[in-house]
Amino acid sequence: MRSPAMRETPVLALHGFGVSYGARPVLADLDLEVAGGEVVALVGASGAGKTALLRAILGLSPSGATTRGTLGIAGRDLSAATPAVWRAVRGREVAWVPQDPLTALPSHRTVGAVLDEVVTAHPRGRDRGLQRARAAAVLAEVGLPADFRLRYPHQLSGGQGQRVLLALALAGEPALLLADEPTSALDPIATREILDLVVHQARHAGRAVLLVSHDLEATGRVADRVAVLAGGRLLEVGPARTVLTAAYHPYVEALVAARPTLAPPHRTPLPSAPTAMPCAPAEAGCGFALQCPRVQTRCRERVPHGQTHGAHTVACYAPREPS
Amino acid sequence: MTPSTRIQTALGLLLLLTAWALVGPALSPWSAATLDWDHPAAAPTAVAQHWFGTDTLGRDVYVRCWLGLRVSLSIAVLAALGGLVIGTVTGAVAGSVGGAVDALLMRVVDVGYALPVVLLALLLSVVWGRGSGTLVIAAGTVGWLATARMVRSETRRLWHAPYVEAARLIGVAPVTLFLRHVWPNLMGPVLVHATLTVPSLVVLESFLSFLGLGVQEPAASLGNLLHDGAREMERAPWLLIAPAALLVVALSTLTVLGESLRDAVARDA
Amino acid sequence: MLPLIVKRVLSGVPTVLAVVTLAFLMVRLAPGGPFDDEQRLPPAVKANLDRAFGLDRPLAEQYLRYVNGLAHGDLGPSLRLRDRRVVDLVRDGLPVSLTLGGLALLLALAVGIGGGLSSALARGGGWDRALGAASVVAVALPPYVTAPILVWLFAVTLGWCPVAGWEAHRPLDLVLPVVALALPTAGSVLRIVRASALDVLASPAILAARARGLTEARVLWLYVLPPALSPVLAYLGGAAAALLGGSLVVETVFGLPGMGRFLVEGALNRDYTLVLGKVVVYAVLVLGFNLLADLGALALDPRQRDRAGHA
Repeated sequence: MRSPAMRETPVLALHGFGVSYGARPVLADLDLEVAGGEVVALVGASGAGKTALLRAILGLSPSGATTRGTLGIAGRDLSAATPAVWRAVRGREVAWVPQDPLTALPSHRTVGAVLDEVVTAHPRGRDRGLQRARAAAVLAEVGLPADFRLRYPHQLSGGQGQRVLLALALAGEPALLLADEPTSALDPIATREILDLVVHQARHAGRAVLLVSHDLEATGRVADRVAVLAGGRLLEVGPARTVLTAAYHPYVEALVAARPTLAPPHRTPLPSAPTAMPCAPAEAGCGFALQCPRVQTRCRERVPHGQTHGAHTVACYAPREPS
Repeated sequence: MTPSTRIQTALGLLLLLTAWALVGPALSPWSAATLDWDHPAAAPTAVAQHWFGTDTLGRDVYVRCWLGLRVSLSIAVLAALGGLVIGTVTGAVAGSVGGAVDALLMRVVDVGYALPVVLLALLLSVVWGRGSGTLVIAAGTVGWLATARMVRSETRRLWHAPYVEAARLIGVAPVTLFLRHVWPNLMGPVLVHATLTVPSLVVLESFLSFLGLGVQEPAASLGNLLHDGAREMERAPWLLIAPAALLVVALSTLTVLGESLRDAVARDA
Repeated sequence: MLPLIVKRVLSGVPTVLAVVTLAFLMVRLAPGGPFDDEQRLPPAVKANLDRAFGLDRPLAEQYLRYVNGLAHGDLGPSLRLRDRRVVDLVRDGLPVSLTLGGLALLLALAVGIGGGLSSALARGGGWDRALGAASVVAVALPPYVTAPILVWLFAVTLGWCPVAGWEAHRPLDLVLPVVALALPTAGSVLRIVRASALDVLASPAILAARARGLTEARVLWLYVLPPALSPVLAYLGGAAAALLGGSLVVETVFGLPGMGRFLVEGALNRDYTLVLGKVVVYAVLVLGFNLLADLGALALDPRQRDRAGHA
């Protein structure tokens, strides 16, 4: 399950981590670790808090946001880091691959200019030649020819743009890579290629990869572990294969069961997918209580915290019985 | 202050100003032309109910200021409306028909922009005499030009919108396309734009009046009140401050209203 | 880029011609002539004057003669100031107006862009609100209101600046007129930049730039400023020409020998050639600044370069 390139301390360590935008809680009680060389897929519906989490991991939550709990990246505790510390960490220890190249890249600058800028901002050594070589190398790493340096963002296709975003993230040689729905806007072939590139970073470059997506299936196939986020809380975290086939949390079970498949029997009606969970972490009880087939009284009163079941961490009072 | 609060506040203030401009003068015992020989160039006091003071001829400044605001606002609004109508038609035609018609119309607009409006006002005033009519036409021309350009680019954008393409592909006639899809979506930006032009038209109107091209003595407009005020500034500063303050308040309200509407429309877009 | 410039210059010529023609007609169709207000002239003398300046010829012929002169760079003689040619008057007055307007433009841009950016960054705070109020008031204060106030305050009362004049070309002479001229434009620019910068600051590109660990200064300068300036350019196209064409009021109040008074005085005196001279200069300025604004827009937004051919 874990690659041999795994390091001792987890590259990303969240413990009891919560985020509030002003008075409104957005994320609560997050416990998650991502090790070097590992791909963890963070899955959740829109509004579940995935973007909020990524921004918090980058220290880029909107103004007025507060965090609780601990956040550690590459062994550094960033729970109360100053802006100067964050600037040193961003791009260098942790890098973000945004979702949409057309809006995430500045329309008035060439790919080469932006790339050089990142390399210069996070130099490994003073040698200019090395930096130039790094910029060239990282472009090649994502499969783009050198003349793409001269292009403007509007001259890139969706897949090319996504590769550029990946190159920019890799330019600082980060230990932690946050891939934010990198394939939402892509066709299946480009999706495959980008996912391969991302996964390559974990397997062969030893980076810790947090792959955010709303597509449980596609990402579940390439990831080592899957973490399901709903209503601002982590409902289940476990090995990808077993989350997809034998989840413990009723929400995740319902999510998986609602996937249309081509396997027989075709004509049986699809089970309905769980309807949207509340966007904010519920204070009193589990956010899934209204729809849960196994709901108990205490589900409505107290928030369930993560308990271990085998290799999974499940936040539920009535998880599936292991068969 | 939330956006809608801001719009409501600005609108409320504007309505208050307008209402006062209509009603306010009636609250004073003085009229705009009455010369109070007992109190020429008097500072604002409660004496003789000259709340804003009097000018060198003894005319009550309060009444003249509010009347002046009435005149300035009505000229600017009329000009804005006229410019709105003509500009929208011009721009919509140019943006929809395209080709030579578009080129010609936009060339006319370019020429209009390159012609100093003061010249137009000057010559209109010579031909038609100085007064509100001249001002409305001169200011309306300015409003028309800006509206035409804006409507043209907006129209072109709307014609290329996906839903118009879709409608065209299923065979909807161009006229119907325009009336049902393009025109209704023009209204929002056009109205916001019109609101935003009123302040600059008020400034233009007051400038032309200041030059003596507009409303003539003894009638009052903010422009000629400011002209007199500037002249008498050292001896009777209230003659400048009163109309200037009124101008600033009116323009500020209009600007805030227009910008808040623009932000609200942009948010919904 | 160069083909665009050439194309615009070429297409500008008929526009200027159309403007001149329109102005010519407008000025000539107004009743009254340049020599009417002179002290009672014997009709014979007046007729001689008319003949000397070609005013007794058919209108079409006068027009053609004027255009022909224009093509050779000759703007004709001033009909009022009879020993001066309009070209010379322009040559004397234009630098003054350009200096005054140019400085006012720079001041307005500096204050407007700096203020707008800092407002956007300090959104909702006291500084933002203060600048917002100040800019709204500034927009509402035309130069003809602020000029006398400034003169009274700084020149007469405080004695910091001279009251009027330009003779010795002292920089201090220009402080008050430049401020009076720049104020409303600065207010407008500030509001435009603030709104635009707020949009840009909320965009994913800025978030992504910060996520790459770039310094705030860099993000501001290279990622926020260029997109935020686009609307300013569109606005400036028209505003700049007005500033540089010579402000009648400011030049009169401060006794600056610029071109501002050519238009009004010329029109009132029926000094046709003077009026047309100003019209030509102003039209060229307007078209020139529109072109500059469009070029600037191209520089700021590469997407438009590909479409520039179909401008």
